[in-house]
Order: sequence, then structure tokens, then C-alpha cells
Amino acid sequence: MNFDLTDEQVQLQDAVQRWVDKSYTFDHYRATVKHGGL
Amino acid sequence: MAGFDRDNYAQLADLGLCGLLVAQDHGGLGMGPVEAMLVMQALGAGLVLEPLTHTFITSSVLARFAPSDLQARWLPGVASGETLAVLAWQERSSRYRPEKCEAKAAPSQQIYALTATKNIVQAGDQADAFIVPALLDGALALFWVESAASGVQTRGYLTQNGSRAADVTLNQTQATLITRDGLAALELAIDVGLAAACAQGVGLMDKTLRLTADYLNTRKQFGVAIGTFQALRHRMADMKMQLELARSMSYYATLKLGAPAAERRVALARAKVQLGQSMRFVGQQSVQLHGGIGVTDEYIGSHYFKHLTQLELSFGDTLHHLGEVSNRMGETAGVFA
Repeated sequence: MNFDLTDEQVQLQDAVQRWVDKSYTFDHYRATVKHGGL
Repeated sequence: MAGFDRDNYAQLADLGLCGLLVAQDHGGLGMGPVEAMLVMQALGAGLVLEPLTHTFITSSVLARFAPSDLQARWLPGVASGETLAVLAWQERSSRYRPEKCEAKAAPSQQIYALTATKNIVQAGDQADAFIVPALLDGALALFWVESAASGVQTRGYLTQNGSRAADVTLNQTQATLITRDGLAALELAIDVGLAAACAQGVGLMDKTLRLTADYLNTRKQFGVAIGTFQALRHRMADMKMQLELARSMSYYATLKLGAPAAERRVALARAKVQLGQSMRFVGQQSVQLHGGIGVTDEYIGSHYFKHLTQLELSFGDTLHHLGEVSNRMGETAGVFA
């Protein structure tokens, strides 16, 4: 069985991970829990 | 609103994620279950609260079961993030059984009037539309209900992991029929949700392991990092094994989403049993290895624990799915057949 990702899939994964790291920080998450965003 | 940020959801849409599973004809990216799994892993690892899982459910169910004119009416809005539609299926007395439903639909010319109470609807008081199972002439059918329709009442609250949910009441509310093949459509909806939950769980556990390892390598007792203690290293190894068992089952769930319904249902139940066990083990061991800090609100690790705990109960808990696996057991394991 082949579990290798295609280039397109790797790009998608990277893009989402980058967004999480940059925009969905722990502070942002906590602010969202409290009152829906910073 | 606490536990949900429309701006966060709009950012997911900007990344193309709301349209990930929507066909290109309707403004989406036309991708499949593997891409959805990768996205949910990353969102799980990031503790993202906005319910993209339900967007995947909506896209999948509409594409498979809705008439083409309704797909053309709704899917572009779903793909652009303008319309957040969530599955409103659970009722107080139904536990996790999709076939158990008290909501009723009465036909009135082209449209239908729905009367229902649905509980723990994700982002229920923030959504623009609901996908609602209800009985029509004694059989389960699936409906589209706009949250702005008259007779819709929502009572929102925070759930354990800090995300938002609501109890949704419909009173003679105008609804559009998606399909009369309601049970099959709802089962698909739940299975898409299960696959997403499994992927999310893998992302959460992966991050939990890394956080725990960092802590063990930082925290000192008796003048050395506690990560040097063999007993604690064994616990880390057990957590890692649970993660990898779960990861394999998440792949399995993803790859079985396109299988015939009977095969798909049992595969997704098997996956959720493993994920449920792994999430519980990894979450709880992480707390034990951390000590008190592991349940401190200011520390990120405690939130992973809460997400893992809640996810175990989502779309059917471990015992429910163990029952499903048991009920669906055949004469053989199907390995050689």
C-alpha cells in the first residue's frame, strides 16, 4: 500500500499548518473561547 | 460569540478549505477524503474550534443526495464560507443511534413544516442553515432548514473543549427536502464526521505527545530532567504506540469512506473504537506525566486533554461503536473472502 502524499497534498498540508501556526495561536484560541476572537 | 469566531471561519474559507470537498462546478476545489484528513489533522493539532467537520459533512451529503438544482443553489455558498451549514441530528433520547428520531415533517405543497428538538448542534446559534433528519410519512428524510426561518429557536452554550454548540428547536419551521433516503444520507453524514474526528484526534494526539516530551525534557527533579526516568519513558512509548494504532485506523477510515455503505459503516465504527481508546489513553497519560500543570487552564496541554475527551464522545462514543462493530460482525472477518 502506498501512503505517500502527492505534491498537491503536501502543499495543502503545509498551507493549513502555516495558517494554524501564524493565525491560530494559543492566545487567539483562548480569546475565541472567551469572546469569539481577539 | 464565545467559542466561535466567524472571522476564523472566513479565514478557513480564504484558504479554500470550506470548498475542499465541493465540486469545481460549484466553486469548490473538488478534492477528496485524503485531503480532508490532512486538513483535519492540522486543525486538530491547532485546537481550531470552528466546525469545518460540518462543512465537510454538508458538502458530502448534498453532493451525494440532493437534487442538482438544490446543489447549485446551496453549494457555492458553502464553498465560499458565506453559508455555514451544520448537521443537527442528535436528540435527547436517541443516544447515538441515527435511526432513532422523534422530529417530524409535514408536507405542505412544495415545502415542508418541521417540528423538532435537536441537541448539541455545533455552532448551532451561529450557523446559517441546518441539515435536519425528521420523519416524513414514518420514514427518515433529510431536510435543509435556514436558521432565519420562522419557528427556529436556539439556545447556545460552550462545550467542554471551549467550542460552541446549541440546542435547536423547530416549530412548524419551513424546510426544503434534501432526500427521502434519510437514513442512508444521515449515516453518510455521520461517517464523514467520524473520519474527520479520527483525523482531528490524530493531530491532537501528535501534538499532545510532543508537548509531553518537551515537558519531560524540561522539568527537573533530583537535579535531572524527569525524561531521564525509565518509568516515564515507558509511558511515553505506550502513548506513542496508541497514537500510531490510531493513525493507522484514521487512514483506514479515510480510505473506506468511498466504500459501499455496509462496508463503510463497520470500518468507521472500528476506527472510532481505536481512536476513542487511544485518545483517552494519550490524554490521560499526558495529564499524569505533567502533574498539576497538566490541568491548568493557562497551560496549552490542558486544552488538548479537553479536546481529546470531548472528541471521544463525538459522533458516537467508544462503547457505542464497539456495539456497532459487534452487531455488524459477520461469519468471517472478510479477510480472505
